[in-house]
Amino acid sequence: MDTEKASEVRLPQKRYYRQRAHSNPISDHSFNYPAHPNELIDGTAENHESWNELYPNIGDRKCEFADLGCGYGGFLISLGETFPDKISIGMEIRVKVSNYVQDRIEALRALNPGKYNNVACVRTNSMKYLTNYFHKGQLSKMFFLYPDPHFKKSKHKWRIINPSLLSEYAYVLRKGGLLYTVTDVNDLHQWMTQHLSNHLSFERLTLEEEKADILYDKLLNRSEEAQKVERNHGEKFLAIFKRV
Amino acid sequence: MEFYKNYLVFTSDYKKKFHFLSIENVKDNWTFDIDWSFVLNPKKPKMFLESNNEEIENKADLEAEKESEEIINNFTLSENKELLAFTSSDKSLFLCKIDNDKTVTILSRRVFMRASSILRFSCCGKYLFLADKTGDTFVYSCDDEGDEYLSSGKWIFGHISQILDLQIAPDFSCIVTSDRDEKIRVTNYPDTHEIEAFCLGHKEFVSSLTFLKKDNIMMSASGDKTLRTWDYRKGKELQKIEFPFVPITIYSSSIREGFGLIAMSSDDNKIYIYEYKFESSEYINLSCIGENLYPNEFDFNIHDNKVFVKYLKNEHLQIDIFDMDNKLFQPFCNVSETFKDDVEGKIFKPFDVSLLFKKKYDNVKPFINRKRARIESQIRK
Repeated sequence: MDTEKASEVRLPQKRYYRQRAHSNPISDHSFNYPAHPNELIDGTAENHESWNELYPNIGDRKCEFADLGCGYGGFLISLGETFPDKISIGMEIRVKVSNYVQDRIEALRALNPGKYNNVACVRTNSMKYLTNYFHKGQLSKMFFLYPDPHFKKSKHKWRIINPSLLSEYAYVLRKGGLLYTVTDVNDLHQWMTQHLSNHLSFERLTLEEEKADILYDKLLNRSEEAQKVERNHGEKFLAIFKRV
Repeated sequence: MEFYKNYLVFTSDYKKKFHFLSIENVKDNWTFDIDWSFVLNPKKPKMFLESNNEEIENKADLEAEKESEEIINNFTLSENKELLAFTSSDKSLFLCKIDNDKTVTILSRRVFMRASSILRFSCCGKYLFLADKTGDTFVYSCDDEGDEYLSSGKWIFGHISQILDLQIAPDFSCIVTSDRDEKIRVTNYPDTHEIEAFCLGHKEFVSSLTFLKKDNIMMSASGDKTLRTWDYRKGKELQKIEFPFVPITIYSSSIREGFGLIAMSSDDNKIYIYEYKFESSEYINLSCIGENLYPNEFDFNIHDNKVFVKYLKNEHLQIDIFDMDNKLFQPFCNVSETFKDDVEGKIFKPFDVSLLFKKKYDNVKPFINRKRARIESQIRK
């Protein structure tokens, strides 16, 4: 972005950041991540921004919303607009895609002074390093939007909603916090809701409660994936679970 | 290396049999020969939501496997010393009962799915916990009521990384696991869906855990060349001890009021013995034995104030007694010489610990360089 500052500020173009939709979450790719969530507060994380560097005027606030696998960041940005006082983070494993979101947020901040300071994106493998970022009970909302379905049975362990990881999500979510899932793959929807319902730390909201959620429409329409599904006239499946 | 009454229990170079060796008299020893033809319960452990256990499909292959190649991977004795459990390279878990007349009876042989890394008994020997190399942890019942000890395993929790150690807290309230990422996870027991805490701070794999016999303090050894102590219930780091080498396996034991003994193998192929003062968290190097030891093949245990260490040096398995008064290692038994197993097979070679370090693979820099070049060329136009 440094070199782009010379020219006028423009939103990044997606065509320079395209990358295949799959990534192996088990592999040893290098990531820079804090060794402990405290390092993001005191700025001691090696090769990683602190909360202060990610959010220009975060003050005493803590990051409370996390969009895991945020993709091109459409929903993340809309989330920041809906909750201007809350700090939201997008986590994305793909190098180019996470860089696109970072450039997009930087351009939005430059074009709209004083706005978009409550959203940021980091490149990380949230399946491995989520608990390096957040303290126990720090989050109040977690989003899993259009996750990689990993259709093969042998790859089910790679799914971002799985029983091992649900315990970690329950660990970072505060009691009463919400976990949202949206997908256009019915099989995956069944898998996610089944595992979440079976986990003793989660309880699904009623249909009425789900529809009453302020994010209900945005979840179905505001992410890039949602718009793609819309164009293809596909079905979308949503579920909201409460941390009990 | 464990104790059954006054006998040391261990496997020799070939890892085919168990040897029971009296600590008073080296001549008093007996062997448990494993019946590798013992019938296997082929039902796979229950994963996640599965309500029925699938049977392994290639059961025929499994039985056809050459018996002579099977070796003992991990073993453990229950607290009351009545039960012996071990995993073998053909992915079966044996549960055995040790009888008073120096015989061992196999009770059950159950299947597990991936290479095992750790095996531990819960309190009273009621359950067995088995962690595998893909990060999953299973529980196997050992209850002899209602034939539970024959039933297949059940998945309880997992890491997205290889589990390197699993220890059960002295008060049995939680299970602590460490992995090849830098994590130590403290899982509630029996509510294994609940994570009590993560002990974070290590910068490399965490290879070994031990509880200092004092309220809620655990010690961990890591590839980042540190030992750390933790208030593990809170996930709070208490102390960091740095070394010029990588500690691999650690054991601890209380020796007298207020003092603990810490034994540690390291990647400079030595074994170090430290005294640890609980009150002040001070530690004193008591002794060191070394050159050409395999840090992975190191065992330590205390019985009746006698400190035993077992190690592999120049392809010889050796058991020494560490003399606390003179701070010296005194040879007790040359296992390789004394127990030349009457078996065919290869001498077991421990794996290379340096493989636990991750290869650095940077896929960000090339992209950033290409991007910079693209932007510069656009500006020029």
